[in-house]
Amino acid sequence: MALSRAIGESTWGYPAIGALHVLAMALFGGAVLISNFSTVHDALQLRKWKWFFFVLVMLTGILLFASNAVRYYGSVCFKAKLVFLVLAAANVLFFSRSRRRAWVSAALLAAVIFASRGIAFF
Amino acid sequence: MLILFTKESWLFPVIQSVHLIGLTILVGTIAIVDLNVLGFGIRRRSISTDLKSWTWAGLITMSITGPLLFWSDWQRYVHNPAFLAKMVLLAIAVLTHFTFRRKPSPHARLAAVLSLLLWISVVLAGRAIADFDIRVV
Repeated sequence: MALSRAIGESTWGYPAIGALHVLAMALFGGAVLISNFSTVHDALQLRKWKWFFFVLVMLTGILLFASNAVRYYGSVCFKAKLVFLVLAAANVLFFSRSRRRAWVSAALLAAVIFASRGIAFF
Repeated sequence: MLILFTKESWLFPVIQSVHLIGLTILVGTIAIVDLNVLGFGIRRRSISTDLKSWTWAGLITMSITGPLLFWSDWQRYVHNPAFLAKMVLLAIAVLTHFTFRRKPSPHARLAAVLSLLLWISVVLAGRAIADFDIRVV
């Protein structure tokens, strides 16, 4: 793929997208955390921003994956990360708003972060 | 135990992960408050006091894990331009956070924009530390 080769070969491509990914992750995670633990009203007002950060984190994530798909595909931690992401999505889709759901969501996001860091090692 | 803690230790990625969780809580909540001042996101004024303890939790997590990571290989970090840039930006961001941004003033919106830009720069510079890592032999 031309795009993945461009990112992989350019000096600034990977670092710049990686930095944006971390930034978007922090903003998305923070927005999710606060909307889960705060009131429904607050959550509704944050909704647009949550989606914006989500699109940004996914887009940069897919680009990073594309830059070296074979390596990521073989990583145990990358697979674990995807599993935690699916579980995090299932948690908000299938359960109604509650304190417990907020904690499960926070724990799964923490697990996603741990797995992400692990990709560099395993 | 601290002496055994080096970049090669399995503890390094664990502490890095906790550092990233702290980052999410710290910068996530600061951004929500700054957006609130600018009239975006959560609109009620009381949100800044409600999120204060979250921001503190994030800040404390960061200021424990950050120095630990630095300690693991400080000779290497002091030569890293991204690390040095991050420290300067961080000092300005923290200073702005506890002074300019804190008091209600006609410049509140300016302070919010400044705060957002500073914290975003800190995060970007932080990520860049890995890209400017040169092993000094």
